[in-house]
Formats: sequence, C-alpha cells, structure tokens
Amino acid sequence: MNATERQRRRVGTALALPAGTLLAVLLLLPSIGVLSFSLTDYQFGMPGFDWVGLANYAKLFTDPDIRRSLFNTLLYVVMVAPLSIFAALALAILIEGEGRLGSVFQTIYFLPITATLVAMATAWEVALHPTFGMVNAALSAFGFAKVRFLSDPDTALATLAVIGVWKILGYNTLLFLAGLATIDRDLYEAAAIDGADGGWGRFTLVTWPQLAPVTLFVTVITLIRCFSEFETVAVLTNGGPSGATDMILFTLYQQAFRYFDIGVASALAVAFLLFVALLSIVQVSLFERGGAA
Amino acid sequence: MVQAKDLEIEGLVCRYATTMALHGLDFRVAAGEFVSILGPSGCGKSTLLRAIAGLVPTTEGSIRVEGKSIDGLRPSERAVAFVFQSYALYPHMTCRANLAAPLVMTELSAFGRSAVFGRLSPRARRVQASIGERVAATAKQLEIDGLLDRRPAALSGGQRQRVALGRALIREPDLFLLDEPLANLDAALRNRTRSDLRALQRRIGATTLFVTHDQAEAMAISDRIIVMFDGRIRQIGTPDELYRAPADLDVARFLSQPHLNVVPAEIVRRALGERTRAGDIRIGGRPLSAIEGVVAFRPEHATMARLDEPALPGLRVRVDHAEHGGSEANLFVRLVADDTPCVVRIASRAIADWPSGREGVLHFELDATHVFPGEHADMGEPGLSGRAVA
Repeated sequence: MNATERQRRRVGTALALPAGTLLAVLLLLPSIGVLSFSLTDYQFGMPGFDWVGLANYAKLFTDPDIRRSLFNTLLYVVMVAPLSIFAALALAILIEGEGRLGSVFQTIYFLPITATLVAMATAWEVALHPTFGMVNAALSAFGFAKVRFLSDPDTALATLAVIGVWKILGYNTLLFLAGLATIDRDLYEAAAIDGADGGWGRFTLVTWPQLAPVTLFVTVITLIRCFSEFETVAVLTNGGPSGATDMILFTLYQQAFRYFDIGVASALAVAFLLFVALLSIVQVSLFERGGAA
Repeated sequence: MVQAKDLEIEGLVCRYATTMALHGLDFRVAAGEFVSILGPSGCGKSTLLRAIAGLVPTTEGSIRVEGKSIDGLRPSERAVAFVFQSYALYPHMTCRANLAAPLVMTELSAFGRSAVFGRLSPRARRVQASIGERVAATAKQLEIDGLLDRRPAALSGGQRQRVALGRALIREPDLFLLDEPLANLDAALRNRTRSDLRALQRRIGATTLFVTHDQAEAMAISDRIIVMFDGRIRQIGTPDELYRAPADLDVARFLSQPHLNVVPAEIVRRALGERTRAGDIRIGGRPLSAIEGVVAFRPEHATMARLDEPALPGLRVRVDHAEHGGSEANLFVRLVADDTPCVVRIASRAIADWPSGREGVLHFELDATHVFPGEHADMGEPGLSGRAVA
C-alpha cells in the first residue's frame, strides 16, 4: 500500500465516521440492548436482573394472552391483506380507465394516508357509536338491529379490519397506479392486434404479468403494515373487549409500558423484527429473481 | 405465400380533441406491393398506420381491403399484422409463447387457454397442437428456432426484431404494417435486416406498409413511397420518380438528406445571365428569366472550378471546410454574393485543392436542378411546383 492509498483510506474513514457513529448509536446499540433485555427478566424500575436464557421466548408460545394476541394478529392480516391488495388493484384499473375524474378519485382514496390517523380513528368511533353513531342510525332506519361494533367481542376485530382496509387501500391503489403508468403502451396495442383488446384477455396477457413486481412490493408492504397494526387498537378498543382486539404490537406496548415487563416485551420486539426482516428478505430475493429472468 | 390483397384509403381524417393528425388522405396500395410512408417525426405517419390497424379511431373516411371496408372492426378482426418499433414483445413470456400469442388469443377461449381446462378439453388440445406446429414452421422460416425457449430480455436487438416479425407473420395477415421496425438496430445490422425484410416480403407476397423517417431506407426497399408532411400526403411515387421529380421543396429537401443546395433564383440569374449564344438558359424546362423563387440542386450535381480558369459562368463561392467521406468528400462553401451555404460533392483526393477561405466557381447541372416557389411560399400546393419540375 503506497502513501496516496493510505491517505485516501484515512480521508474515507474520516468522512464515513459521522454517519457511522449515528448508525451505531441510534440503530445498532438499541437493537443489541433489546436483544440483551430479551434474555433477562428485567422489570422497569427494578435495581437488578437475572439472565433467564430463552424463557421469555418460550413464554411467547405458552402465555395464553400472548397466544391470543398472535392469533388475533393473524386473523386481522388474513382479513385485511388480500382485500386491500385486490380491491386496490381493481380500483387502480378503474381509476386509470377513467380519464378526467381519475385524479379526483385518486385524491379521495389517498385521503386516509394524509390524515392523522388518531383524529380519523376518533371520527370512526363517532360514526360507529352504538347509540348516536350514524352507521347504527342507518342500520335501524333500514330495520336492522343496532350493532355494538367496537364493544361486541364478535364484531370488534372485524370492525378494526374494515378500518384497516380503508386505511391502507389508497396507498396500495397509488402504488398500483404508478405500476400501471409504467406499462409500455405498445404492449396494449400489440395485445389488441393479437386479439386481446380489453377485459380478461388483456388483463392476463399484459396488465397482470407487467404488474408482478409492483404486486410483490404491495403485498410485502401490506403484510408488514397489517402485522404492525397498533394505532386503531390503542385509540379505538384498547385491546378490548376482553382481549378480542389485542394484537402483537399492542401486547408489546402493554408488556413494556403497563406491566413494565421489559424482558417479555423485548422478546416480542425481537421476534417481530425477525419476522419483518424475513418478509423483506423474501421480497428482495423474489424481486431479484424476477429481474434476472 | 399468402393471398395478397389490395388496400384503398379514401378521405381519411384523424382528429384528436383539438389537433388534426391526418387531413384527408387518399391512396391505393396494390396487392403485394411494398410501400413506404416517409416523413419527419410528427408528420402523422405512425398515426396513419395505427388508424389502418384500428388502434386509433378515425374521424372520417374509409379504409378498404380488397374492396371491403374494415372501418369499425376491432384490430384483431382486421387481419393486419403490426410490427412495433419497440417490438412490444411480452417480456414475461418465452419466444415460443410470444409467437403463439395471436393464435392463442383468437383461437382458444379463456378456458382453453388455462393450464387445467386446456389439457382436459380434446378440442383445446387439438388447437394447441396446431398452434405448436405453426409456431415451429414460422420460427424455422425466420431462423429463430433455436431461441424459442428464451425470453425477450435474453435476446439481441436483431433477434427480438425477428421474433416480432414472426409474431406478425404467424397470423398470415392481409396487410403487413411495419412501424419503423429497423430504427432500434445498429447501422450495420439495419442495412442487412432491411434487405432480409424485403426478401421475406417478396417470398410471402403480403401487401406491406412500412413507416420510416429514413429516406435512404425508404429509397432502398420500396416499390413506391408516400411522402407525408403535417398530416398530409405531399407526393406518392417510385423512388426514382421522387428522386428525379420531387413535388416541392420540403420533399426535395427531405429526400436529399443530409444536404440540398437552395439558392434564390435572382442570385443565379445575376451570376449566369439570362442567355448564352446558344439561346435562353433554361432550368427545369423554364427560361431563367421567368423563374421566381429558388433553384435547388444536390451536392452530387455540383462541381467546383478554379477562379482563374472558369470554363463557364457559375456561382462565385468561398470554401468553408471539407468533410472526408471515403472516396468522396463534401465541400462546404458559401456564395460570395449573399453567404448562402452550399455543399459540393468532390473527389476526396481533391480536398487539398480547396483549403478553407479559397474562392472558386460553382457549376451545377441545369438538367438535374429543380425550381420551387420561394421558401416562404405556401408549400401545400404541389400542383404549382409540380409543373416547374423538369
């Protein structure tokens, strides 16, 4: 190594140092901290702790409350993800086909993203209120019985799922619209000449295959967002009634800041992080395989 | 060999919201003919091709194939094949599937196309087998049988172009519509492919419309050329007719790329005089004294003579610079009279005789010179300038 090369390396290190330090302090250290806490029985405010190995992780699978929370989360994802992906695809195709009003619809569907969710959740609460909410007013006007959407254990999770779809639909639609805009017009013309000038034929020959990378991205993003649902639970139901809407991030929050059980909360956080990382890795590898083909 | 059909276009108008893309076009293409549509970008040549294919709606006029109107038919019902500049191959499908696509989409139902039902139904299986045979035959004809299992991304530009041609051919169309199919190839491949293309067209005998902005390409392979400007047809003729008798200055300029010399008639008159001992000087059949506007001649019809020994009167010019082009060279000069730039084709070994700044006399062949109304005159009346052409 000659002098100029050493000089270059010194300058490079010096330039990378500030960003590197920030990364270490803000991301790596806390992660390592959480990972370490997950192996202890540390309780917030306690003077000391003991190493308990994987006991906290075992608890994730044995504790009935946490198991219910995991089950609720899965149920929520199964309800929200497919609906919000396919409905967004359908909406995007409709909006793209609609010339002048397209941008109006686009804005309307995008509104939930721009609005503050806590405020919007309050609006939902008012709309769904058992006695003076307008949804129930409408139901009784048509002769149906009133439904206690958020306080009936049978309907609470489904109600949150509907709000979840509403929340995520516009974003997914926007992603699909961006994907549709990148499809080469020539392909549609070629399809028209080949006998697929609209409808199902054109969708299967051009639109759907061309949207594959976008669909993959939307699917992963939607899954991650559904698994990490927190705000609506915290604002609308507080995990209730009787744990019917308890979901994994809300459980984590409760364990950490209500029961101060940092060990269990950290184990949850690590498990969640691993899961999200896994999803992202699957996405990246699928994406690269698609790009290479 | 397909049964060639003729094509007749009458009063074709295409209008988008506010702009006119095509202003009432009329022309006929004989069965089996290879006709190029030539014009600068934005002249409406691609729109014309898309209108014939049914990809853009027409406002007025009719399109007839073998006397039968195809207006209002869907693109897939028109028995036309279209080759796109971008080739528009389906990127997620193998070449085999790309070639088969037009047959699959028209001959199989949505059920027949699906993997499960397509295997169950005996009729779908028969159709699939026949499609497979036709794909193999077309691939063989275009020498792409070795590429059938690859995807378009794994092919070179020339190979993609062949697959796109194959997808067009496999339908055995009445009309072959090619939208700048050679534009995305590199220069060497383009020249070879264009002769291949013409040979292929002769072999299958399909009536062909070929859109291009490259006049050399159009001249090289067409039976006839349609020249378009601003959504109108300016001239229709064989390559030779267009070269010898361009209808107006735009056409002459476009066909003489890269250079056409345009000199005001007044300057020529002052330099040459109006008559010699033999009689009136005539350009393009008209006496020089009666000519208004401009005269135009190509670099290959001009020569340079030394100032001290001009055999005949000519235009006095000053040399600007020379461009070596192999055996020949282009000499860029300016008229001493009014600085009009001109180009003269000289032998490349003569470059040394014409250093920058030297003055000389430019002669041009009066018989190969065209007369047009002034540059700013209305170019929309080919009749007027047509009469002036030699």
